[in-house]
Amino acid sequence: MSVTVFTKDDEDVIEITMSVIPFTGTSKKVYWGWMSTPDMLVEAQIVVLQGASTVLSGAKVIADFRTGNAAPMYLFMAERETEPIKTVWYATADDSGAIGPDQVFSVIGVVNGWRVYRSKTKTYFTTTTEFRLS
Amino acid sequence: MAVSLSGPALGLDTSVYRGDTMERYIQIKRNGVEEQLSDHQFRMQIRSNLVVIVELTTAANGGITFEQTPGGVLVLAIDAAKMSTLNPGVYQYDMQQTYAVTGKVKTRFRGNFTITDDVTKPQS
Repeated sequence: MSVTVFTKDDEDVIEITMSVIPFTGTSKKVYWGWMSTPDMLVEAQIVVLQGASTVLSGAKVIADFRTGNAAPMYLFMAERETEPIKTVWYATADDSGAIGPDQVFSVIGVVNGWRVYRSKTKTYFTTTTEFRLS
Repeated sequence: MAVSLSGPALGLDTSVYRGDTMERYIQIKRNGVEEQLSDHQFRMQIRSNLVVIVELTTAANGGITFEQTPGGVLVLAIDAAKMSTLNPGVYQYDMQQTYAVTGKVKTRFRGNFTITDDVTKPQS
């Protein structure tokens, strides 16, 4: 459902539309990085945001976890809470199987409207990892 | 179409449910073309008379983010924890846009913000 209203700015017509759902074609925004403890994202732990991307539904995202990840850390990915839980994680060919069926990401909670996924164990990544949003 | 010739656009009322995460998507077009919103700052207050019950801004963690479609879309978000603290009622709100280059401030729209009481309360 959406509502559109109009106003004028000098001679320009300003059209404003409010919607309760994303606009058609609106992409999903996701964040990823690593965190030092398995708990929710809190100030007490080290949380490093390594990347963000805006992708179309069904698109693949290359999440590069390498930079600064000098020691094994929990990996996280966050998407908007209102998105359906359909994120599919899968391994790239060269990640040594560190992510995949044995290294699943699961939802640990919601922070400021963002659903946070976390890896099951601490991981040391030397390559990139992909995930797909559907 | 009804056009407000002076001041903000009217009639952009919204209803929310207490305790639920609120998200609204705002698209602004100028003469039919989407404005590049991410160049600007936005600020919005929800008030009960003189009392501000919620303020959203485009500052970090301010509750307003830009969604990068061509031109940009604003996403207004209030998390469930905050929403569960708000009293049911009818409030007023508006949204200010501050232009990056000129500093010009325009209040783009205003309306009622209605909060309906929930039945299932947060776990204590």
